[in-house]
Amino acid sequence: MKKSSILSLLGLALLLSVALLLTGCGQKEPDEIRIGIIAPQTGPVAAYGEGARDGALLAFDKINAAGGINGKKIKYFLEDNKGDQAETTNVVNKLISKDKVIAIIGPVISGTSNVAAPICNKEKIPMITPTGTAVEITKAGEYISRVCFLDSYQGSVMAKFAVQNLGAKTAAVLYDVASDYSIGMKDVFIEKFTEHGGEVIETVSFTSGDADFSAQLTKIKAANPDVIYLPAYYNDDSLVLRQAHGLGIKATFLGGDGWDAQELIDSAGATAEGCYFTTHYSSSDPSPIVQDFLRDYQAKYNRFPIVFAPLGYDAALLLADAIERAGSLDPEEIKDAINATEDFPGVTGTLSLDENGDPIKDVAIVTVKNGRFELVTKMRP
Amino acid sequence: MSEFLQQIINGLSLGSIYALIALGYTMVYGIIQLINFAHGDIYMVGAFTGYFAILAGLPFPLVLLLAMVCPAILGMFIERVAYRPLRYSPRITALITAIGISLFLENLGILVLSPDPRPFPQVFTNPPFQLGQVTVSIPQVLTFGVALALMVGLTFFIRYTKTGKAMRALAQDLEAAQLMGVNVDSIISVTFMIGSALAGAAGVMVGILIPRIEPLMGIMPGLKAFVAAVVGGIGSIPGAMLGGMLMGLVETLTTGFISSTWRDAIAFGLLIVILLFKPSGILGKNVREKV
Repeated sequence: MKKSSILSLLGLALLLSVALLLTGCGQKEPDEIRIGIIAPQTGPVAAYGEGARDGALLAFDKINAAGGINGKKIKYFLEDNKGDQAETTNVVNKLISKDKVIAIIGPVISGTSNVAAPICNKEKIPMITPTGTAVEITKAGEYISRVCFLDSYQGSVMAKFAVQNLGAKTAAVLYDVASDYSIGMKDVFIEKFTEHGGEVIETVSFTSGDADFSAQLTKIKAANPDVIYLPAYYNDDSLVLRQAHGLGIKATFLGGDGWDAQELIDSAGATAEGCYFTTHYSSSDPSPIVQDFLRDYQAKYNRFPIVFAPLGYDAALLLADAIERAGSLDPEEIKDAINATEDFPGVTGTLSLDENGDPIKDVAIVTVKNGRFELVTKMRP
Repeated sequence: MSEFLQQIINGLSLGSIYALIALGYTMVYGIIQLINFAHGDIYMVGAFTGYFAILAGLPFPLVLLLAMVCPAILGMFIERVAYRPLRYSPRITALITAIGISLFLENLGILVLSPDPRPFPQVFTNPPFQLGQVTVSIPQVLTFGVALALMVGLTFFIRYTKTGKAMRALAQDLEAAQLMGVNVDSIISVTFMIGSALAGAAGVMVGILIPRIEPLMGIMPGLKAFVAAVVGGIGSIPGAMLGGMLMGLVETLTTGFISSTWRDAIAFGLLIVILLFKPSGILGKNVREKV
């Protein structure tokens, strides 16, 4: 009785030490790459989060199917931050301290990205937000970068396009005073349009939720500009277009990525014809990288991607590319590799990261022709 | 100058909408001294009725008729179940019930129709036409024309029909009218019916003029039409028309010549100024309280 219990104790000790040895080995030489994804999958911005998530997961699946990065498979940890700032703090801390991720893709919207960025930078974990457009996000430090362009960036591209490609000499601007997105784009557009030799002859505003634009449009009509810049979201855009038609306005409407939704064409109908807007990419772009992405995405999810999806996809591929170039799983070396990104071929354009971690990339200019979005050109400011 | 004229046209078409809604407020108030806060939501129901009728492929006159009949029935029904039992309760009870009905209709709309705004189908795709120096679109003409026709019709109805006479009698003195043999319940029902039908027509017209509808679309126009009714003199039918037109003009001219940010501030500021000088509204009768 006594003898056997001593033996079993010895056996147990032996087993334990072997187990300890084994796990010790595992920590020294991890055979997987742990990456966190933060995206809202419930709550008011769930549709955006799901798009970005599906894009990133498609990229990771592709990489793993091709044998992983430097022979190691990616293991992802998906967290739902509900688009909420407090929840974001929780999930970032969980990913870093419990799941031991070496890099994070996300969060999706600007408000939550602003919360996550300082934490990641302090913990020295590289973070790439696919879609956070607020300027401050990447100012948190050198561990933070993004793949989407800034609002101001597309404003200056549209100003250049209006003058150089459309030959516009005069412009009117109609913007939303209650939206930072709209104000930011308006300011840059006016500055750049003037710089390129054009003249902004009328600036009028509305407030989110307004539905009657006839007074503003009448004022614009009296000024008779060549183009009208309308940096707003598709709901407002389609209303403005239909009312402008009713007032007999013939000037060309220009906009930003807020226009990029099928609902715009559904609701504005023929009045959307011939408008131009800047956006991240166009599904009508014939380049193989875009068409391959569209094919794979629809094969995997059986639906058409929203614009957040290719950005999530690009963020994931850019991170994978940086890990491969770093040849190491050390977050600091990965960070250096991300920041050294040069001419990375993404679905949303070939991009290099500047000293802030913001991309320098092509902006797609899309028009509406015969009831469909059509790529016109791609350009930089 | 042409820009000013154009803004006047814009203001009049927006004002027609406010005037149509304001009529419902003023008629109901004139008879039972109730501010029917659910009236803005009746207007929303009218807009959605029109929306579905157009999607069903009905011709426009039928759409307009349907969008007046459905809200009219709903208005009568609401009066029957929610306000009639409270006829002899304190006025505040009926007012709070009206707010309750309003919240009920809004949230029912969100539940059944989803909170997402929907584009109103394009009924008239004709290009706008030139009238001297100003451009007038078909929806603008139609809104103004329909509103004018309804208001003229209403004036004749109130002045020359027996029911109209009974409504006026009720407004003067409910108890005396009852003693003279006027059926108070049915006349109040008819008042709600007419007011709601006008709001329903406004709902369709707004869908054509400003093509976006949603379950909460009635809140702001409802409030503004109420203000218009008060400015014109609540209880007075010509006052509601005048107040509505004035509200539309002030809003449009403020947006056009000052800034959209000032629009509501100036519109509601106007209410305060007018009420300071004419507490019973522009066309309101100055009724002395009997002591």
